[in-house]
Amino acid sequence: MEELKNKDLMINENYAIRLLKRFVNQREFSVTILFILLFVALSLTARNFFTFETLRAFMLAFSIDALIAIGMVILLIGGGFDLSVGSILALSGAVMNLFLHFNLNPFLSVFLGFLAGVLAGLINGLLVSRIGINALIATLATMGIYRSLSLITFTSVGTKSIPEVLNKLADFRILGLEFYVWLMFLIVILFSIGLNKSRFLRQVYYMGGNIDSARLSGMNVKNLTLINFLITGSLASLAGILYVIRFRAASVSLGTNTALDVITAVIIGGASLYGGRGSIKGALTGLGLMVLIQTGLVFWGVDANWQRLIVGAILILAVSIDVLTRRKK
Amino acid sequence: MNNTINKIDKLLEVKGISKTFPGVNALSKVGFDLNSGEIHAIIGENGAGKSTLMKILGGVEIEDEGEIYLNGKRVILNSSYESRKYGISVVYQELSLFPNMTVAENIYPARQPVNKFNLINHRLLEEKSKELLNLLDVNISTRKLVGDLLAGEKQQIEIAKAISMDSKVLILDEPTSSLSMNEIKKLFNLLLKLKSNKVGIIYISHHLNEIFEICDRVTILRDGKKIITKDIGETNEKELATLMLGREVSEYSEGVSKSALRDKVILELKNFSKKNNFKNINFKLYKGEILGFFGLIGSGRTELARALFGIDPFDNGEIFLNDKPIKLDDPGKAIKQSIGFVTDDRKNIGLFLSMSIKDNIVAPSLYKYTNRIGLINDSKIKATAEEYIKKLKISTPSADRDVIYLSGGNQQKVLMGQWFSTNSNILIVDEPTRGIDVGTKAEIHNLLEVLANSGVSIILISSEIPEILKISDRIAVMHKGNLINIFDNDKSDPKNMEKLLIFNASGLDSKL
Ligand SMILES: Nc1ncnc2c1ncn2[C@@H]1O[C@H](COP(=O)(O)OP(=O)(O)OP(=O)(O)O)[C@@H](O)[C@H]1O
Ligand SMILES: [Mg+2]
Repeated sequence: MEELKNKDLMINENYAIRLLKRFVNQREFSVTILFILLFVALSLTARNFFTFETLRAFMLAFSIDALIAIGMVILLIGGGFDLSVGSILALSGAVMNLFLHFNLNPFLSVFLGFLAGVLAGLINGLLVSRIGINALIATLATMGIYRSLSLITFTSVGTKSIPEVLNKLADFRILGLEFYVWLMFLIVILFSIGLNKSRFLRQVYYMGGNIDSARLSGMNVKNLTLINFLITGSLASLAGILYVIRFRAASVSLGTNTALDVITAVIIGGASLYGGRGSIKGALTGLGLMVLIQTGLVFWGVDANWQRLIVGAILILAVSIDVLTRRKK
Repeated sequence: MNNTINKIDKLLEVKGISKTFPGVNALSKVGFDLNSGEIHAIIGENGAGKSTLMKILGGVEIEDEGEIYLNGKRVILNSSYESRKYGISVVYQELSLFPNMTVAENIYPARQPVNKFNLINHRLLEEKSKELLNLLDVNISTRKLVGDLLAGEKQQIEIAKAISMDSKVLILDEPTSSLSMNEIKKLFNLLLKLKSNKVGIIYISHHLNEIFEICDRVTILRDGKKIITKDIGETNEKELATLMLGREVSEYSEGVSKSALRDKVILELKNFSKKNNFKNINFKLYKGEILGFFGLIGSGRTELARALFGIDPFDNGEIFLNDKPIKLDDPGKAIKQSIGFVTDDRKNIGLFLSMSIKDNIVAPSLYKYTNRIGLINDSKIKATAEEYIKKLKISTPSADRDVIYLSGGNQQKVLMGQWFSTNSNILIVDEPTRGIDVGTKAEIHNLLEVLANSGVSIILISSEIPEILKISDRIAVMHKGNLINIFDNDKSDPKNMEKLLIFNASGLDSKL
């Protein structure tokens, strides 16, 4: 009897330790720790950091890119890749700007701009899933094409500030936070549940794990790929519209670094370029860390030129730790 | 006197080897020895630790403790490079070929013959590869891409590769798992030749009859522990099985198998053809029967199954399901029609190695675990996974373990679980018991018969004559892409055995 109890206890203890270990071993965990450390350090050393205004600024910078990060991590999990997100973002803004220039109804312009980005995502998806072009190559090409298209529209009509209704929308806050921060929260929750629980998105993990086995298991891998690109394109397009609203005018240079920044963030957060691994939580913590570094440099008064160096170092660090711990196992 | 002779002959000695993985004691204090010119069998249940021990000898895994001696000298094998340097070469259970390279390039990776400018001499490379394949009596073009080969052919390439290194110790981890009888014969001839050249051979197999055919001694592992080493002359199959399992093998009750009524055709193929693969295949599959497909490697059985399931396209012919013509050009469509397919290529097109056992088991039937709005019920998934872990005796600490960490036979069981849990009406199983130990094998045969009795129709592709004879209601024989005969299998009639053996020996299109 006594012995039995001891055994039970031991098993429980082992279980707790195992659970803890599993938690600690996750990349999200180490990135979150890093985030917290940096946050605390900033709060202690930089004056005016720990204020609502700073937090708000952080959320502003974070939330729009977060939309793209969500799309990107889903693509990466499924073994895909999209270099054109920055160009899609610029394109949707440019198309919206074009229609505003012709004095079309603002909301219709917003809708048409969004549609342009969705279409761009659809084209990516068709190129990869139907013609069978490698995702990297296909989106390398469309990255240039979409960028050119947006530049062409800009040079032909010039940028125009957004009309009054959209200005009001840009100022609209709930509990002190801009509406698109709330929109981001909503989308995050939706996709987190989706990726965890929906059958459709669960299939994305299978596809990234082994595309041939997924096909043999009856999953429609072509449609899955297509829809993944469509999701990513739509989210990038939405981000493009929100950027225009936030800055109150479309801009030529919008999104030039977005693709690589977001991919970096998502990989810091534990996604794999080989597919099958990654999570929304990870993508967002990775992105959060990057935005915090940007903010931190400003507060510490460090030259912004350091930013890419630090982000690069963190990327190498995060991936090295992963590779080394895996090898030990 | 005797002792000293033994000492000199002792080629390899392994002492007190232990190895643990998270949650598993794969090996604890295992020791055995190998003489030169000996063929030494290592046997044990799935997950007993055989492959782990071989990986340690191959330098792929590092032991936690223990010592390895070669010719009486202690050696440290920290990498496969080192192990090869000491003259050990291994054919691993999981093949590791480059599918995008030719046969010749695969046999000589990084050791290609070169000319004086250090450039690869392609002609010599092909010649040398051909010579090696001739040793195995294998007829495969050395210029073919390995990705286009069948499982059995790949296995032969691995063997040729290992032999090309002229090693002193040759380790073969389940080399015959995808070979049919004739290829096995050829392999054995070669092994006997090597044996007479004083090579020491370690031979792992779940086919106990093979062990009695060519091995000198046998070492039994169970749960990572060495049970005993025996001279082959002093034991028999039954004793070995009992020692392996730690209990008597329960041959399933014969009463399970009753012949199918054959009153309802469920699937029919008419003039099914694909150039270079199979020609004019016609057959009917009845409800509740097991139709065995027998043939040699390259007879077109796997290709036929793949085309039928919609993995590959075919040229001509029609498929009738319940008397209605049907188009199956995608596995998804076949699954919707309640057809299932256990592939013989579990690593490449069957399993999701980096995913958990439970994710793997429910992969083809994910829709069954979804509620009305498309959300997944994870506890239901877990319950199913645990049910099949029990049913198929998958040895693992939990359903959450990634499949890549399971032993080969246990991976095969996960693959079976994938399709058994779909509850399909038609099940195509291609070499279902490949790599599975004797204990579980009988249970899988039993499961297949129970399924058939409950009305499931099964197409069983197998290169093992005993397996085909044991559970098939009818047997179809294929040769070079032709279906040359289908006959009733009276399970107790020894004549059928003769028929298949004759076919096997002659390999010609004789009328059976
Ligand atoms: N890399 C690994 N990580 C975790 N567990 C492992 C790993 N490799 C092997 N194991 C475990 O070690 C045990 C022994 O595995 P091993 O592959 O040696 O079995 P085996 O005797 O070759 O079985 P089989 O007949 O199925 O091939 C199994 O329980 C397996 O799950
Ligand atoms: Mg093994």
